[in-house]
Amino acid sequence: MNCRHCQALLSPLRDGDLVGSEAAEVTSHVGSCAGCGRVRDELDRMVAAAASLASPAPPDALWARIEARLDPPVRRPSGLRALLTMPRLRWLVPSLAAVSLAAVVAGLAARALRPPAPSDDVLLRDAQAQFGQAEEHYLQAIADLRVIAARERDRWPEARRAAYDQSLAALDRTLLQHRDLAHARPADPDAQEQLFGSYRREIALFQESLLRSAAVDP
Amino acid sequence: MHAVYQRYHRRVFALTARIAGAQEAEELTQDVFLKAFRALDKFRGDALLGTWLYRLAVNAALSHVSRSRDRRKVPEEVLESVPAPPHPSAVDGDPRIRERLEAALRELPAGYRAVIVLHDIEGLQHEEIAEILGCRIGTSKSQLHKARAKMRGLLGPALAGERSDGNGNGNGNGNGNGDRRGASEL
Repeated sequence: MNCRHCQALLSPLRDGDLVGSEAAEVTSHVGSCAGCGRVRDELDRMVAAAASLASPAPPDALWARIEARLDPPVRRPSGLRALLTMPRLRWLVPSLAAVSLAAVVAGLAARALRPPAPSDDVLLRDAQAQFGQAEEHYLQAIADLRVIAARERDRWPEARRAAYDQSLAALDRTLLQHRDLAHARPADPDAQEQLFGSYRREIALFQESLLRSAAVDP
Repeated sequence: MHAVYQRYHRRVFALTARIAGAQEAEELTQDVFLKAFRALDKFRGDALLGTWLYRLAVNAALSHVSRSRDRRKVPEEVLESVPAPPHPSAVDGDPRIRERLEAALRELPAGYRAVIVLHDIEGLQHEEIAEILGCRIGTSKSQLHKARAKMRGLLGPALAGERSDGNGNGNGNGNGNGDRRGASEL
């Protein structure tokens, strides 16, 4: 084996792609040839250095930019729509429509409240009334979904039931805390948004659980 | 979707940055994830999803490179301006070799760059690289060996450093033609 041939096979040898007599021949040649040994060392150093290169870091705001470019149907994909297309769950439509309405009303009210104008009592009262209305919608939707989920729950495997119970209990606890806070500070938009966030998370739990249930047994 | 992004965005960004350039990486990464999210329902299983995303990333980067009219060539002077490390034993830990490696990477043809990035930098296996590049495993391997040879040619002086072979001539060989050959023979 000459050096030219040997050096052409050093990279395959390094990666374990050479076997049998060819591998033995290259190894033997490198062991006795300082030039080829040096080429092998250089190759090793180069590959080691490549492996040690630090990855370029993506900017922190990258996800926000991607999210901003997502089409609405992609950003809010199938959750509610998927539920509504399942025959067994179609009668959920009124509750889920109420949820959507509540979200819109809550959004409008939040806009009216932030920043609150101390001199504009009318605006403040109006916003609080809208929050109250939104909360009613949320509570009604949650009550309906809770009943449906409780009915479906009996059909779930033990482990899923336990996980669901645990998640729901944790969300209920948080929701109560946020509700107390929001009611104690009716003019505080952060407290109101926190409360509605809790409502939405609980609704999302019901929605996800029901979707899974329907996917297993449509 | 955010979970998918969280899991894969670093590597997608790194692939696009290394293949197409750091300036282009953010835009390309956005395009990759937007394209992926719009077709996400086609995929089942995490491994396939990752491979598919990397394939989108590599294709986007390679397309960008081939479209780009003002391909950023790294002139030889840039490589020369990064000093060679003083001694080869320090090569792996020496930031200068990494700087030269980055510069040499940009000099490589994009296809070679892609396979070196995927295998030697990102540590993917040839099976997955072949999936990503849409080629056979054997082709992935042979491309890697050629890419390394080209890379070694670009890095030659940096890798050789001030090394002597220990017997004073640096040209020892087993058959009388052991002069240090071009990296293309690797």
